[in-house]
Amino acid sequence: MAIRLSIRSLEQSSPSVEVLRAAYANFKSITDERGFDWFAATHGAPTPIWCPHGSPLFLPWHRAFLYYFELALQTRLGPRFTEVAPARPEFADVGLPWWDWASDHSHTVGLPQSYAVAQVGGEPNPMASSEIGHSSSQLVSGVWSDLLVNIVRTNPQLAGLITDTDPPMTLRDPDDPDELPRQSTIRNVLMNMGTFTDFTTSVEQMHDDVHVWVGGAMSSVPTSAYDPIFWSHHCMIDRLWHIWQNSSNAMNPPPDLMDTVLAPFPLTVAQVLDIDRMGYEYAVAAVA
Amino acid sequence: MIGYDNTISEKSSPAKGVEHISMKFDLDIEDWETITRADLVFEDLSTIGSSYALRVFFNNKKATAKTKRTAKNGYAGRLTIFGHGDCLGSEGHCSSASKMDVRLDAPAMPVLQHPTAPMKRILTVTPALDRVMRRYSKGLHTVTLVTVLQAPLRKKRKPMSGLLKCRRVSLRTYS
Repeated sequence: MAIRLSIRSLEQSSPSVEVLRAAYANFKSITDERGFDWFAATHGAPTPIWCPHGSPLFLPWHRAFLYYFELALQTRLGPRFTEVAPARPEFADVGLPWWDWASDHSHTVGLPQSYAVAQVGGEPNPMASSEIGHSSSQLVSGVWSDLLVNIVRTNPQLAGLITDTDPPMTLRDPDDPDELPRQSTIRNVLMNMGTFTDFTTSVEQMHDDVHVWVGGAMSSVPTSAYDPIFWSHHCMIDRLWHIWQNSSNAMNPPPDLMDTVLAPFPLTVAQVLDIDRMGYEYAVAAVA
Repeated sequence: MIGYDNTISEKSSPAKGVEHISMKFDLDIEDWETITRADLVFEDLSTIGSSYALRVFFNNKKATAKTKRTAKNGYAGRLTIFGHGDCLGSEGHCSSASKMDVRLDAPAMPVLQHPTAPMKRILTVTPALDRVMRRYSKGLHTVTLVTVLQAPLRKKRKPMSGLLKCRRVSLRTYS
């Protein structure tokens, strides 16, 4: 079972964040459908855009997406979305950390330090930026990545998403930390939204705020998942859904959606409602 | 329970990135006392194109992108629209009527809707509307929408017209 902790908690525990960083570096070195590049491309581009936004499937789809991403980060993802024994046992228990962008700390410093520093020990920090189309030798995203990079680089409105020179690396330009969503907004959403539609719409609005707040690659759907902070941002969104699911206001998605397959992943809406059955949980901190 | 549903009656574009919506809001202060929530609802909002911020001001026709977001200026809240970017495919690829959205009469398996299908957005404006109802005898008469391009680089962010594309904006109150 993976325990997803807050980034703040991980940052205060040096070995944990180093293991996460090493897991990311390993993940990015994999050049098939179990690698970071494939997952980043699956969200938006170059492969077909799968992610449903503005839909009641927003939360279920991204939960499935994070589930398989975490399995892959743990080196436990096999062919056709099967679960296998970890190829690298040292990463088998790595949980995706969540970024509490509404915390007092985030409203002071902005991006988490572990994701913000460009280099660690003289090497590029794999959690700070990613190359688009890194695994260009493989079919799943490589064929289309040149097209994406070319479109981004030739559209003046998209300047700042990625670097102007090769390799095409993701960029950020975060806003003032105090412009991040506030705890009062989260409280209002968790306590006052009484239907699944109202809840998912309200959560998605906070989600949009943070994407655009980070700026750079995160501010546009096709490139956003290449930025590693994307995954911790969405982990926070998934956590908020989990918290709401445990509240007295909680309601399931509409019944007619329960059997919807969250393509390309082999899970239905009904299968992602219970994170306990999916094998992960959320905690602020863990004590060994 | 929905109490009122006030739809846009007219629009005008006085400045770059600014739209005024005149609203007929037939609610007096006594009725307002029974209202517990007010939402500005944007229906069939398109997300194709660039990301942008939508700032809402009540009863302030002079509001622009430079206007401070304060209660005194009628600031009611903001929405951020996370843009899907421009279409990477051939003509029709990003149309919600493209083949991804085609449904069978009796599908064996429910399918995802098109990822760029227009969406609904809700901005809860209860406190801002409460201030308006107590301050102006005629209540709410103008909603000013200021759209600011959220370019990837902060220095390139600027007010821009034509970003907001939606079928309907309405104010809904609940008691």
